[in-house]
Amino acid sequence: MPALDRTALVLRLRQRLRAAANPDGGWPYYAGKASRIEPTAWVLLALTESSDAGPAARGQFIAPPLRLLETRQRGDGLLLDNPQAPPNFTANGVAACVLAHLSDDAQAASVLARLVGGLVAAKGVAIRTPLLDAIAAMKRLGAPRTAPGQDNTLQAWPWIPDTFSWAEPTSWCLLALKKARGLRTQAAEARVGEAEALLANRACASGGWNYGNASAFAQDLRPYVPTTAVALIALQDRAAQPAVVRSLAFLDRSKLAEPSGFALGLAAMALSIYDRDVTDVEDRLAADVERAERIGNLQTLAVALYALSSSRHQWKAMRV
Amino acid sequence: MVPAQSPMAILPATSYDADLTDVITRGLALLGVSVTGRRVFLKPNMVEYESHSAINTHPHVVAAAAAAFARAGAREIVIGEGPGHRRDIEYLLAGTGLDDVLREDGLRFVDLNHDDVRLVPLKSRFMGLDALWLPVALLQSDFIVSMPKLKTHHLAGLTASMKNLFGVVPGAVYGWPKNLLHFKGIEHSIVDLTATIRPQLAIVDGIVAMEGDGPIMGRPRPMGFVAMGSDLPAVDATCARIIGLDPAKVPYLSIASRFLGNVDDAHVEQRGEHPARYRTQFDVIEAIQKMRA
Repeated sequence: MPALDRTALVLRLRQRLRAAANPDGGWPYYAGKASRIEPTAWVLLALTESSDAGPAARGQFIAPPLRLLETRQRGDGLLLDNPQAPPNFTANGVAACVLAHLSDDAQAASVLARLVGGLVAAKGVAIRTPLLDAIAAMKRLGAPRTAPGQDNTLQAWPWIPDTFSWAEPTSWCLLALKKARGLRTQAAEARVGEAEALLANRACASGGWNYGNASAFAQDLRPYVPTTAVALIALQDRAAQPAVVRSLAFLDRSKLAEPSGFALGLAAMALSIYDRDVTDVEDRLAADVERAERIGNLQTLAVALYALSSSRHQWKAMRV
Repeated sequence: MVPAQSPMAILPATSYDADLTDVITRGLALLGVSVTGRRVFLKPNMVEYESHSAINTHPHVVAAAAAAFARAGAREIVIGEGPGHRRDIEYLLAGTGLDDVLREDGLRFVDLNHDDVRLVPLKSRFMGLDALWLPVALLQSDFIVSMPKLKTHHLAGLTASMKNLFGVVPGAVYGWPKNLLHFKGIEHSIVDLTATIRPQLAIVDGIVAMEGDGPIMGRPRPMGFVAMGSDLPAVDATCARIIGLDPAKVPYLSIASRFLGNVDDAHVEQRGEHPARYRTQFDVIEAIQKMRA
């Protein structure tokens, strides 16, 4: 796509996202609905990073969404879509990453400091099944051992409290703790270590991640592009780990296999962070973004906008 | 309250190129279903996408149902799904071909994973929960149709009209996969969702079903029928018998038979083809061998 067209596309996406802002300063997943944490964080990032605005205009722009996030913060630091609903740790992880990137703003820094405390304190449940584990180990005796089994005692981040840990919330919360380096405590360091171990353990045999199970009922499961991209971004400082090497190879060969705004945008982010050329991914994204616009998921449009304006920001918000 | 008799209809449909609107229209007539002036919500099964697989309700069945309900006088038709493994609705809509159908037929689709939500008290409490967040688009409808693909399911035994309701639970609240439902017991979740949502109708895509390690990794199995009925446990029990499972050994159907609907064959009135015409033995994984008839 010629540069002029790309510029026009970025402008169009910016206008669409700005027009969909709610009066409370946030964004919903779909225009006209209630503001939610996750799309608010993504749109805040995409609009901030795709803009040439100076510091004053930037401060003015980010104030309402930051106020919304602050009003959604409960006592333990976690952000809620609704006071009665459980916290969603993917949404909280994404918001923490964006706040860490904007933390030269006092309000962003203040929300982030409390949020990091909430993330460090939250853990997925461990599942201990000694009898089943022993049977599985016996079945494996004498069989060729291709990969270690899934370790369900590892505890990283679940989607909501009191459930199992999964790839996407773990990746975003892990990235958030890595980005908020100045706020890291010994407890946070331990959480980072266990989250990295969990992601390595849950990588698919072929490389990459799905929602977070490498196998089920003795069948290797297939990885997905978006979750693989997010996990690779979270593990960017562990590039030599075998699971990362295998997964990067998967993403290299599958980067165009899931042609949606969400998958292509995240693939472009991850591959760029690992110094890959993503011209083909961005071209495909620009060519296909009309479908994402028609479907209208604002978070997807924000991911696409952030990816298509990468020449302005060099993915700084996603780097550790 | 379980009715004395539950009518259902099995209609032959040998391929997705058949006149499925006519098939479903005949099913509605056999069952005496009226949707005049109602807001119909179609909930197909779209959980993952793999080409040449039989994971999802075929888009032609969805389009045909929409056309049949429009012909029957529905005031509005909305199609909605909240895929349980993937949150990327654009990828799934494009991959499955449902996006083409929506565009060509001008149908409205709601991404249930990311819709506005409301806390709804549960009408049975097998999960041990008082309430669940559910999508507003679903709650605003007054005629809900569960439209599953008929599949084996490595935990529940089978995916049919009741298990299909996992897709209404919003991922943006509960995550992917919808782990809370597994944590609380899959059979309990299926029953609580059905008791609370109480869909008015089931339309099961049994044209090409899935056997083996369903609901994702199994193999396509051509079966050549569409099953319809208003008593969801009765529809699911009939589907279970067709694929060689004993409904009494399928935990969710066993619980459902106590208060939600008829599972016993003697209380299901077949108004279309007799299920015996399609009865077979699906391959199942070891974990659900114990549910075989």
